Parts: sequence; C-alpha cells; structure tokens
Amino acid sequence: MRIQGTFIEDTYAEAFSLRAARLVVTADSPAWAQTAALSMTGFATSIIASGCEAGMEGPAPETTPDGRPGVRVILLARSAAELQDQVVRRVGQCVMTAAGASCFDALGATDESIRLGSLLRFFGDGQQTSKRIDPALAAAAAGQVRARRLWRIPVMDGEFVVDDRCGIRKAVAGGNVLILGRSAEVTLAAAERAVAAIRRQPEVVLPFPGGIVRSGSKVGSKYRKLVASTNSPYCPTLRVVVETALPEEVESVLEIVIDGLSVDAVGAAMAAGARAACGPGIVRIGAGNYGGRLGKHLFHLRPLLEGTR
Amino acid sequence: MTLRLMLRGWPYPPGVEAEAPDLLPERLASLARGAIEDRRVRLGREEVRVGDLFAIEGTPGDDLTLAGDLSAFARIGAGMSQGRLRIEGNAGIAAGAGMRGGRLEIDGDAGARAGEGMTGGVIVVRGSAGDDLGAPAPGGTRGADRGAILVGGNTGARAGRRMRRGLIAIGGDAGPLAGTEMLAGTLVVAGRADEGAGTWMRRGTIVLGAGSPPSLPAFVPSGSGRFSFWSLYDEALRAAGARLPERWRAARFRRFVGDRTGSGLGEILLPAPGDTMEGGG
Repeated sequence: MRIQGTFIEDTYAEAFSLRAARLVVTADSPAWAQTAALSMTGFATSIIASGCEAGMEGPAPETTPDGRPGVRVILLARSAAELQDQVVRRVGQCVMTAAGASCFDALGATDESIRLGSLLRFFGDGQQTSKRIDPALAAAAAGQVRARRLWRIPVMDGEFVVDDRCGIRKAVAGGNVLILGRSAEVTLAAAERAVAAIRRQPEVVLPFPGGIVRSGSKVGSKYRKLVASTNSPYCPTLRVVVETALPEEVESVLEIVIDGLSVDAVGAAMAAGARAACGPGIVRIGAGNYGGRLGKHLFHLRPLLEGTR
Repeated sequence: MTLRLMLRGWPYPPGVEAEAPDLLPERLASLARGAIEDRRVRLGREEVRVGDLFAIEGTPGDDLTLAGDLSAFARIGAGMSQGRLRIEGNAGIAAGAGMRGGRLEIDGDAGARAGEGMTGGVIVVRGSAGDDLGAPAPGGTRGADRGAILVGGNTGARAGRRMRRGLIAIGGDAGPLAGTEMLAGTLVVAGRADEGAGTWMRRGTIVLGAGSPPSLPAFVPSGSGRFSFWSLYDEALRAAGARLPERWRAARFRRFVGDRTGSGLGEILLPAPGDTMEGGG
C-alpha cells in the first residue's frame, strides 16, 4: 500500500490501557489558559518515568463552564490513585498558580471519579468556600447526573475555582506512528504535518515535546535495572552494528505517540497523522509494537488508512 | 403518563383551609381511579373525598397536574420525593414544605413558607411567592438544605431565612430581610431587595441584581471582579428556565462581606458600576 509514494508497512501499533482524566483550564485570555495548561502538562511524556502522560487536546472547546477561554487537557496514569496524585499536584502547582486560571472537570458523567478541589481546598487556610449546584440544575446545564460542587479558594488575584472531584475513565495510551525519511529535515517536516493533523482531532493528546518523539524505545536493556532502552533497530547510526529495521535510504526516524480517551479516537488520530506525513522524501510509515505482548489494543496501519480514505 | 385533577369549585367560605397530603405523584402512581377518588382531603376539622372536590382524567404515573385556584390548599407537594407535580393556578401556604426530591411547578403564585425545610428537589414558582420562602419549618433551625427554588416574580419578607445549602433564585424583587440568618447556600435576587438583606448571615452568597450597597455597617467592601463560580450558576439557572438579564453573564460584581456582627463569612455581590443589570424577572 502506498500513499503519495510513501510505502505503508503491513504492521500495527500496540497500545495499552490507562486511567484518564479530562480537564478544562480556563482563564481571562486564551494565552493564559494555554500557559496554565502547558505548565500542567509539562514533564508528562512517558508513563515510564514521568508519573503520568498528559497533553493539551487540540480543538479548543466552544464553551467552557465559566464562559471564559479554555483549553482541554487529558492526563493518564496507571491507576486511579496515581492519577489523583498527579492531577492534584499538577493542578495545584501549575493551574492554581497561573494568573486568573480556573479548572473544571471536562469528562462529564462517569462511573469513577477522583478528588481534586476537595484536596486543594486546604490551601485556602479555612477561608475557602464551596458552592454546590443541585443535580437537577446541573443536569439541565451540562448533562451531569451528580451534583457539581466547586471550591472557591482565595488567592492573591481573586479566587481559584476548581471542581471538587473530576471524573475518570479507562483510556488508551501508546498509539503510534513511525515516520521513516530520507533526511532529518524531511522527516521532521513530515512529523510536523502529522502533528498538525492530529491536533485537529478530538479526545487525543500527544504527550511528547511538540508531539514528536525522537528517542523511541524498545522493551528491556542490557542493563538489568532498565525496563526500556533506545530502539536500536530504528537508530540510523547503529545500522551496521545491530540488526536494523531501516531500509538503505532512510536516515532519520521520528515517532508520533498518541494517547486518547477511546480506541476509536486513537485510531482516527493515527490515520490522520500517518496520511498527513506521507509525501516526497518519506520512505515508509510504520508503527511500534512488541509482538502483541504489551498491550491489548492493536492498531493495524493499513486497515486504519483504508477505512479513513 | 399524566394524571390530571381539576378543582370543581370552592364552595367554602374564606378562611377554610384544605390539606391534601396524598396528592403527590408517588402516592397516586399505583392507585386505580376509584382509589384516588376515595382519598381524603382535610377541610378544617372535616374530611372530604378527592373525587368530590376534583374531576379526574388521565393515567396515574410520575406526572400529576392539579388545575384550579388552590390558594386554600396548604402544604401542596409537601414531602414530595420524586416525579413532577404541576399546579395550574395558585398554591396556598407551605407548598413544597419538606420536599426531598422531584419537581414542583406552580404556574401562579405561591403562599408564604413555600419550600420551608426542603432538603432536595426543585420548586418552580412562575408567579410570586409570599413571606419566608425556603425558611425553616416551624420549630426548625434550618431553612432550605439542598434543592433549588426558582421564583419568576417577587417574594415577601425573609426569603432564604436560615437556609443551609441549595439555591433560591428570585426573578423579581425580594422583600425585607432577604437571606437573614443565612447559614450557607446561594440566594439570587435579579431585581431589588428591601432593607436588611443579609442581616446576621453567617456564610453563603447573596447576589443582588440591582440596588445600592448594603446599608448595614456590618457589611464591608471586599473588592470587585468577575467571579468564575457565578458563570456556572448563571448557566445552570438559565438552563433550568430562570430568566436572567443577558448582561448578567459576564458581569463584574462588587463584593461585600458580612455580617461582621457574627462570623462575617457571608458575601453580597452587587453589579459593579458600568455593569448595571437590567431588571430581572
């Protein structure tokens, strides 16, 4: 299969399940909402060493709970407890501290939830107040089934408003696309096209810097303490010393890693990214997997691309 | 499925008060037409059959409509916990008292003490309401404790007295001493409030759409700004059918805290100059 001259490998990406929260960060201007969201999703690239994976969801919400400009973020961790720890730390340190920012649950009705404002409220030193919107009114306003409880925490520019709890749900992490190009410049340009296309998709985030990973990993290492190490078969400089996966003309490989709220969202984003990356100078589009041993979600490239033509 | 009971008339002299605790959706839903007709309505010291007072049509279910001027009926919807009860007319004293859930809609006016001691549900009064809206039941110490009361018109004195949680929204003006002794919760008055709003309030929020700053010296200015939490209330209220001024959405408010003769953690929000709201209702 070829798209704009780029060969699509007959392979699949292997993704796994994590727990996810989806929040909307609002502020007085889009720039400040972006600043707060960028800060809270920093150092959240890989679950291997970052504690969680997180990113800003592409399309800005048309409406936000408090009517101000907002940015949606998705955070993912292995368990509800780990997710709560990460969400509370990040909202507390990066959103509560950002000028004029507020933070609300953006997942809607879910079976599970974690504490958020109910832990951050103590920063108010007893001067915090809560507001509760009755379920009957909340349901009319936002399709919610549970009462919405907010905390108003006094801060130096006014008050920080945050939901008492936020919903969580099972989500999918580790969807990916490998872009194999003839040069570093061409490959980076293709990866940037892929990122731009994926950022138009809802319910997905790209947790790595600029949405792109250059240090893809394989499972295990010659060093026993390491659970992951550099993806040697895809490193151009190791072409002659290890068993390589690279065709002769490939000099650079970049990976796009995609986390999302559902299998469908991740699949759609992979297809959009892969299609956008194809073009002159891009030899192949591949995907990373571990022989089906790591994750329960397998995204086969060719059917995905055929299904989204 | 809707059951509709139409008041045949009211042949009794003024001052005779009726009470019909069985006229709730949850109590009639499983009854046959004959059993509903045999239910009793207390009239002073006497009792009469529901079938003698009301013409009945429709099928029992979660939806019950009472049509006619029910001003003489006390405690309509009292203790209701589920379903929808609609009054096509006025309701008497203490409508929705002790309500725990469901939705009570009154197309006309409600008498005094509507929603007293309620702990859940929604009361919608499209007309005006009397004194002590959402106040404690006689002998009680807490007013509305959860739930919501939406009034389209005006209210009498002491709306929201000693309310503990929940929301009371008044589309028109409020009488004197609105929110007096509030323990917490939110009282919204789209129009004006008479003297004494917030007197002795301990916590909670009173939002006033128009009028001058609190005249009580026990309230002190505490800055101004756009309050993020208010936007959520604004949206929820509009979605529930409350008619709020459009400019209310992004209004800046002046904030006053008090009553400083007590714990002083309550707040009164008033539109800031330049963001004056247009009349409520």
